[in-house]
Amino acid sequence: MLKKQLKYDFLFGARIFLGMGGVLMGIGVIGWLLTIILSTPNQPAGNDAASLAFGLAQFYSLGITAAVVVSVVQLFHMYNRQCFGDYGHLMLTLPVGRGTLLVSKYIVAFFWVVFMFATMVLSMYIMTNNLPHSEFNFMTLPDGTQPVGLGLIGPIALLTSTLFAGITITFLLSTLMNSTIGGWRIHKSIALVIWAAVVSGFIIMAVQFNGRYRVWATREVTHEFTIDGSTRIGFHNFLDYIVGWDVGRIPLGNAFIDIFYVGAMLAFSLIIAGITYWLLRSKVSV
Amino acid sequence: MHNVLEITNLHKKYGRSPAVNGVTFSVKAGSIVGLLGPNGSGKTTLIKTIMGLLPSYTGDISITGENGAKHKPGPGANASISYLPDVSHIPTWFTPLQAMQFFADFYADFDRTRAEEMLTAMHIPLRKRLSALSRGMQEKVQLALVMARRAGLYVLDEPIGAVDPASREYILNTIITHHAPESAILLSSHIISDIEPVLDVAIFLQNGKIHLMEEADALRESRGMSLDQLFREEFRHA
Repeated sequence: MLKKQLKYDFLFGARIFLGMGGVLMGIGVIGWLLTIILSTPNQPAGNDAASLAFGLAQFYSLGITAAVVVSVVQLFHMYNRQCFGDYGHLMLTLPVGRGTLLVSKYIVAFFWVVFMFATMVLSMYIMTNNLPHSEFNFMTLPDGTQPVGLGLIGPIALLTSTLFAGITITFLLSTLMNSTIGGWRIHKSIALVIWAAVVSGFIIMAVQFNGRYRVWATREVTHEFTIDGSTRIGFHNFLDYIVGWDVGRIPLGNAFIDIFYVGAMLAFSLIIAGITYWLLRSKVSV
Repeated sequence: MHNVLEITNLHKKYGRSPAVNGVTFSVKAGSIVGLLGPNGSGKTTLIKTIMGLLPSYTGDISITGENGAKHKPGPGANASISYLPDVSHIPTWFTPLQAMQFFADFYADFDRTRAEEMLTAMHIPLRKRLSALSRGMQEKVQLALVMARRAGLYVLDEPIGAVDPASREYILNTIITHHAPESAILLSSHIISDIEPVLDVAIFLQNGKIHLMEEADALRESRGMSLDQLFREEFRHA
């Protein structure tokens, strides 16, 4: 039954996320075309290119922020609509256990979140490809080196465990809002407050454990091509200050703290998933 | 005939308000049972509880599945109950063809040929998205899919609520002709006159309690009036 459930959950997700991924790729391609059109031999890299890069970075950082916000909202909406809205009458009366249902939703949500993230990175790569100093440095350590090969395992593990924790929290919030505990329905505002508190703690934890890493994604765009040469904008700041992700290569000597972080994220996710399953199985009312 | 559904002393509350209050009844295989009552009498709550959509209840619900196995509300029971809710529960971006595939994937007892026959007879375009169809047509698609299962129990919540009077007769005929003799139907409605002819047993619900429960023919004979008249009489002030 999990296979069948996955099939339809993927289809549900595809309707939303393929379109959003297409828009992101479109933004990347438009940006790339702009750099080709505007960077003619008569306009050598310099102030014009810096202004262009600044504009693109602004444009793109807005696009990325919007994409992340919309992705989270859509993830929430997708789960909420399928399980608890009118469609809940169909989904929750299938001959499928609630555990299977939840596992399928997690797998599919994780897939689409990673898809969106990969699309953002690819789109950014396309956009910056034609700019001067255009080597795409998604992750650069403070010493200027790039993580390659096995060195990528660390950042990928940090990122994916964090994404998964985010998904479990989002699903918990949605499930909580549709649960009846002790005969009482939890008010949406209370669920939102709980969610906000958990997410805040989650961000603080992420910052605490990853503060020493630095992502210099699109370093050229965000750093070198700013107008005054000092203001950092774009994806780096978004990750660094808003989401609290500082993902970088794991130096061998610091591997312990990263493993601890990933373990903590996974344990946290499992607890949250367990609570969600309990609510879904015995407290949810449609 | 054995019982396909047994409900014993069922209580369900919303907060402190009782929605179903000590309901006990059973549904025999082969019978069509009508849950009749005014709005707010507890019909939908009772049905949702049977379907496992409202988990916190007291009392006992037992559904007889394949090979006589007894199930509580949940995935095991869902394999042998075909449920039509009172809302549009099939994603509207599905075409009827996709919806049929969905049902075929999840329900072993789904008869695709039967579903196609019903949809064709109702002039439903199979390749058009449900969102492009009228509400009445969407209801017909849902009903066709639900009735195309060879389930032991059909639970239909207001099956004729949103369809035009002309279609009601067709839908009721569909319900009667497409349920196997060994399967039972539990249907709720407040449009009594239309469903009266198909009912074997009538259960009148009021304020979450069974107000009256008897075989339809016996009730008509003893009261000397139709179920519709009786309903109006009993619930005049409800």
